[in-house]
Amino acid sequence: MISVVKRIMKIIKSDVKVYVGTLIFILLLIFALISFLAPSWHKAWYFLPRDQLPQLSSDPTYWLGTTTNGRSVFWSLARATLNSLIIGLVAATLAAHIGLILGILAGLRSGVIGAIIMMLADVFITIPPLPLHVVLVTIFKEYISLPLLGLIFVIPSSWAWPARQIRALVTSLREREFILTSLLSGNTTRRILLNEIFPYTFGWHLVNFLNTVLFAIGSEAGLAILGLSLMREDTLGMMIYWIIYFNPLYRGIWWWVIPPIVVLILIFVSLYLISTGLQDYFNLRFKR
Amino acid sequence: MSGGFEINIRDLDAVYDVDIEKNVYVHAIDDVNLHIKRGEVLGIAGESGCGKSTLAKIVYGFVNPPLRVRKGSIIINAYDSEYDVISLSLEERRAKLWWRVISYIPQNAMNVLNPVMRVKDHFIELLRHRSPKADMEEVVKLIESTGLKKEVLNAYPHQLSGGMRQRIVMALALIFNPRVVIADEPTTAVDVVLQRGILQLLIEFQKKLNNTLIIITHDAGVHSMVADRVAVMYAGNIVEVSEINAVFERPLHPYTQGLINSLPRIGDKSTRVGLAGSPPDLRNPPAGCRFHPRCPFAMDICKREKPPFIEIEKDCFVACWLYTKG
Amino acid sequence: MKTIYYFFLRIITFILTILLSFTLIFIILQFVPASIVELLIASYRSKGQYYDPKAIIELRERLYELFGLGGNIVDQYFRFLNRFVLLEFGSSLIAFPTPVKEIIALRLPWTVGLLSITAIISWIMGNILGVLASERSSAISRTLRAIAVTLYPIPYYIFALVLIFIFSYLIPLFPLIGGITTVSPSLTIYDMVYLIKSSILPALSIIIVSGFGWWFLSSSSLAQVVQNEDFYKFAILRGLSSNLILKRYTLRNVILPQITALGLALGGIFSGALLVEVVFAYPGLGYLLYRAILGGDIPTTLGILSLSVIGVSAATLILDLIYPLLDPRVRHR
Repeated sequence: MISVVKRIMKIIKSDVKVYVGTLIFILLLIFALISFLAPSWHKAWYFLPRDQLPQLSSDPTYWLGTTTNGRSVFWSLARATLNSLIIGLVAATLAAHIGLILGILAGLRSGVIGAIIMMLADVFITIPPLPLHVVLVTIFKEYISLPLLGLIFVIPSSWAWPARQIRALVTSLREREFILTSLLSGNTTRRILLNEIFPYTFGWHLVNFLNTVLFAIGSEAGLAILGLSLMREDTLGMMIYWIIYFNPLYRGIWWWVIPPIVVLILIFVSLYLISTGLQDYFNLRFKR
Repeated sequence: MSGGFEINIRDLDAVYDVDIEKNVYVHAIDDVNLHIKRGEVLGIAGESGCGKSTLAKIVYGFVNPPLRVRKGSIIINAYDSEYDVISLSLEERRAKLWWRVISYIPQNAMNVLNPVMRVKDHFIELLRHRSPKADMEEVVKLIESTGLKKEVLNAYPHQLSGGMRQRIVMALALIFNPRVVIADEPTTAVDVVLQRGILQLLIEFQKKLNNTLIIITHDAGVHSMVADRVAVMYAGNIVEVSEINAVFERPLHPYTQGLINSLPRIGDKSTRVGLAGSPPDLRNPPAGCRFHPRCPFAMDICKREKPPFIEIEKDCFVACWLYTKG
Repeated sequence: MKTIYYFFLRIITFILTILLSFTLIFIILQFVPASIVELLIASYRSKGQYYDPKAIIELRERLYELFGLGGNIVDQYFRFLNRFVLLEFGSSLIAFPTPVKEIIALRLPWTVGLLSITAIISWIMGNILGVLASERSSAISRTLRAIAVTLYPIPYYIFALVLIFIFSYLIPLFPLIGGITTVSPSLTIYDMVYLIKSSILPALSIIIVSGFGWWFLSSSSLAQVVQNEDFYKFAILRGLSSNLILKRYTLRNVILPQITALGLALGGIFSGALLVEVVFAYPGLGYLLYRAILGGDIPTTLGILSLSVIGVSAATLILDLIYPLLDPRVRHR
């Protein structure tokens, strides 16, 4: 256990990108978790005086001011960060693993099964995600909830990219000599999978996972702008929806507009940094 | 064009920087002196990592970080001019030296053509770049003299076989009739039949154009087939320079002797004896003669001081304490 | 002859992709429970607009058919396909009785214009800059790459909000609210200028993130791959000028995989552009989608979905057909 942690620390420190990215992300995570400390009334509209400037006080409620609909920017932002991350997590966990399994399948069995999987993946990649999400969300609007939203993002292209990538990886690995050697030495397919193939795919699986989180959070925000997200919950997308709806910038209320945008940008940049840094790390390690 | 041509390499010293701040480097070329004459075929022999490719690149003037020339000079005398390769700037080397006076056929010549350009475009771009008009007639003649049909010019590299591409690269190298051609491992990774064709072609052109050919390879068989003289390198030093027959029949340096002894010979069924040990790590080369840890004749002085580069007979050199008097 | 075969194959793939996409959508929609139709109609009614009773009847019929809740499945499938391929969704609801096809056709040129211009500009610009930046490992190129890494993961519409903040709030150059008033501008100078002025920010959001972010990054790393190739080193050895090498060796070889990449990225670029339109109230398909959702107009929404699939597939087809023109290895076997 300790050795796993140590190895993770080594990877994190190995590259500036991963280091900075992880740092920012951890800060965001802490911020998101603080939302559990929110007072029970934080969801109520018009509870607090409207359009208040940010004030530094012992009570974090006013640190980022209040919104036009009488809510604390700080608390709603914290909760929004948490919810968006959850959506991302649900979608990514499903999509990345489905993609991994299908990718390995397609890579190892390159006959009919593999061809079918890849054809499906290619078709799903061609379908632009947004219109499909819109249709699905509109239809299932009554049943919409956080996990379901995550699921909806999985169905179109989020599993397709990882599947394609992992399959390309597995196919190229198959051609490599060490697999053949392993096979000829009498290893079973399962052993080969575990010992030879898995170390390579794990790195990319992680990268795909992070990328899918980004994709899901971005998709949610996109749907929210269209008014299709969870109206009753706080997510980063919904905050942007209310910003467009109430148009606070017109009245100079910048403290409601900037924080959600900044948090969104930070999430994207930090996860992307980690993802790219990991890619570099795995490329280096395996190019030897 | 005057007939005078020679290359003089004096006291050449070059390193590959590993860590500039900590002054860690790989001492790739150590005190190399060589004189190359007009019209000769010089082979540079030695095992992998001995510095022969590095030497070739430096002679050509292709010195990029982390490669760094610390000391020495390479003077090329050609066309009544003198070129100090090291002190020329990159621009000057490009403009005056490269491909006009001296050409370089790299390793793996089959893959050095641009996949998105036709063969003839490779020639045209050179001609346009270096001389005002593109004379396709010369190109066609050159191509046909390598044994290829002129239709090859319209093809893309991937449409041709490896052997054909190799000939095209050779033609490219000779397009401006350079005074010296460097061929870096022209026969490695190539089957024997192709090898013969390539070597024959190189020699044919060398004779016809009367230029100088420097062939770098670890393959002793290649040297025996084409070289007039051979320079044997070990761990960054030139340890012996001899006429080709002398190298095979009377190798002077212990390393060369070891090399020759390890070659299979027709009719000789005795067990081949190789050299014990392996080449030194050039980040920390041994003191004195770099070969002394493996040398069966190592003396005390070999461990302390580097042997001088002595001319035993005309144009025949060796760097070994065994051949100094006293 | 091989080329014709290739074209033929690509067109078949195009048709198959579209058919397959629609079939998959059909299958997904089969999981819609019957009550959904009533809910959709109820939500349409509840939007508080005046509704025409004829619209409801038509809507109910069509929805039942689209979601496969009446009649046998094979008939439904073919009718479904027919609707989707021909964009035959009947009348739209937000602009009853104007057919869905018509209002989509009205908005389509705006989106196509914005999308094609920005996609092309950002692709070309990103590739050229990426190749230029790869040669020198100077401070400039490293900074550029750091900026690109920050820009790339940001969705276009988020960046659009940033641009709005900077250029409409901080430095009031562009109008803060209100989009474009006329849907079909005439060819007068005034209208042209107005058109350009309203398109600048939307276009910039896409070009900066896509060009400076994605295409720049991928181009510069591809360029480095090319620079490790033997033919590149040989070009240097021959003493060719760096400009020539950049153009004919690096750029030409970088472009090939980038065209493939463009094809794969089209779906994402398209979606991003739609959302940018919403943020700027730019009268293209994105804004139409927004209003369709607001008005509970399922037929129009489905129409836009269908068009998106056809449009992106068509664009991918065009790219696939262009590719052999640039890569001789595909042109001549």
